[in-house]
Amino acid sequence: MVAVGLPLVGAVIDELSGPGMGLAFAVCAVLGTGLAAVLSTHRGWWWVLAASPVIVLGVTAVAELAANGDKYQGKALATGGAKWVVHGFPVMAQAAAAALLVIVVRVVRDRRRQHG
Amino acid sequence: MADERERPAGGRAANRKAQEARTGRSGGSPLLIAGRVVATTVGFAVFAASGVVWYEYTSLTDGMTTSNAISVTKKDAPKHLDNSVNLLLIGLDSRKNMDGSDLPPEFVQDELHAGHSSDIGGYNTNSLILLHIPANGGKVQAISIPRDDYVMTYNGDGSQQGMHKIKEAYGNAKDAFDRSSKAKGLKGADLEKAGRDAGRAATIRTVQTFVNQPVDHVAEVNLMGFYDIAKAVQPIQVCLTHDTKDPAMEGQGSGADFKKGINTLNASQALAFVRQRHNLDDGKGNTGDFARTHRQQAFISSVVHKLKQDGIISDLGKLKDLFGVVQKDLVIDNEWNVLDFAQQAPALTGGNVEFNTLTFDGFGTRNGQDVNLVTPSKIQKVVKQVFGYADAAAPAAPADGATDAPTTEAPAPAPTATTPAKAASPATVDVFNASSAAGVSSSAESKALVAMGFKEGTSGPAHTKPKTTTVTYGKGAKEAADQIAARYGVTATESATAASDHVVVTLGSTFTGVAGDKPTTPGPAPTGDPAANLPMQGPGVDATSDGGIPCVF
Repeated sequence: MVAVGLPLVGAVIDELSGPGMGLAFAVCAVLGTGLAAVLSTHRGWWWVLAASPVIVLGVTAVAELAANGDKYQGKALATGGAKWVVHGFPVMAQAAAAALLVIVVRVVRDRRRQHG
Repeated sequence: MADERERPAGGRAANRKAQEARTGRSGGSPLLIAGRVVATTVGFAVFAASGVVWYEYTSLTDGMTTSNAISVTKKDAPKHLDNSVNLLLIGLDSRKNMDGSDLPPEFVQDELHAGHSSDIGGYNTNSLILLHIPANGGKVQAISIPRDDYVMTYNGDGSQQGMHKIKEAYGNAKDAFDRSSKAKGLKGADLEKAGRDAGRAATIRTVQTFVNQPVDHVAEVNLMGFYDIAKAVQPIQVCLTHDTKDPAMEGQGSGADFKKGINTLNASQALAFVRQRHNLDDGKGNTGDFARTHRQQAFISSVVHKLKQDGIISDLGKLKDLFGVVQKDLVIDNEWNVLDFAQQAPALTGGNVEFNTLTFDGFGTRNGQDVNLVTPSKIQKVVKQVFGYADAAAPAAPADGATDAPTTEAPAPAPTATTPAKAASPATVDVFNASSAAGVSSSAESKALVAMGFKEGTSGPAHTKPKTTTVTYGKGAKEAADQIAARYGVTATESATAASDHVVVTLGSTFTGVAGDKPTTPGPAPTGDPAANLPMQGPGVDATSDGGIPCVF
């Protein structure tokens, strides 16, 4: 829930605060992915990593369409899509990095616990 | 709304995920394994694809000089009437590099034919072209603003500079900036960049105020940049209607030496082609500077034509290569997203552009300098018409002494195809005639309106005998009626007697025809051309004429 909910909240904040996705969305997406990685089991990590980019892009598209659906028609939708991808990638990368960081920390901790 | 729909779906996925994670039962059934493989593949594919797109995009925009001038001038810009985009092209007559350093003197002299000093020319915006890209496709209208138009120039913040030639707004603002406290602590390239941004903002604000149209984006190129770009696309074919020669002398002559017909230019000659202003006189008042604007318009048309012919525009790889070469020579505003441009580009690169040059009231001498005297309100009306915004108070198109009556020398192949004004709505037009003037008939007028893109309705003699022409409309036909009313220089009114989607034109008893349709115009009446019956400086340049290489004087 957190993984999807937080980016959604971020997206809503960004749409309300001005055109396009911004900082709030990025922060929430990264936090959401990170938290998901914290909460899930080892097996779930794959899901977290795989789902994160899809959610980032999906939420962006849904939020943008919901907020300015009338703007995105025909060719504008194609350029809009390209724009979402361009803006989305850094967020995806950061989210993935956050998840990986959490995973590494957890693995290291588990090892210590096992060996210690 | 879509948020609500998305949430349960996303929530379910997350729940499932959490459940699987908690119970640790996943991975058992082959179906689940397959599902997991698909999901991870999709996830990573999205991630990788986004990465590639992002990389391409950043490599395209990195190294581009951007200006934040637009954010300053946008705040109180005139309102947009639709989703069209106005783009200001600035040709800066600076013989300096982007960082403010001087170009090598030999280069300026031998290749640019621009004298031997980097101080000539200062920071004059010797070429100002405002492009109007209509919201719904259609013809792009471009207007050149003569550089010596004597107007109120502004700084980027809206403060007045005083009356100057429009080309001087840039340099004035840059000078003022260099002397201001803001320039303290800035040096070299940073100082130059900040100063030029002040210049750009001033130019945008001045143009915006002068023509009363918002400027959405700006692109600037200087002499050196033009040369580099021309070098990247050379050889370029242009077409002239006369032989011409203009020897280069101490920063004045351009070094032009061309013959009548098609000329194939290298970068150096291309610069001469767009810079020549001496020994240019078509005998119709389009001397020097004005003939030069037509050269610039024709050159842009020719370059676009060439890029199209070489398949550069349709080949993303080639386009990227070209962009890599020219990006260091171009300055665009930082709000101009390359992706947005990709969306607007087809309108430009399709070559469906018509250029016109703004006219003026007459020559004058101000502060010891030769200037073009202009009346902003007149110019604003003309620009509004050209951009396809039907104006209730249409200009009466009086051709005054210093200017040419456009109707007597309109370019032969008058464009009758799409215009921005036409795409509006297919209203039906009924025409009734109360005029007994020679050549006026309801059916002829009806035909002319059909040529503008409206549906033919009934036509015949008028039941009433109004003195002036009236335009009334029924429900849903306001837009069409406004366009039609503009043709007669009247205001359209809604009428209960008019059927919906119908416009009723009643030609008044004083109506003798529309100036643009008069038989003095060679060829078919250019009724579809919004610039047809407007005063303009010399003939317009249609990018689609002469097979894509328009011939100019």
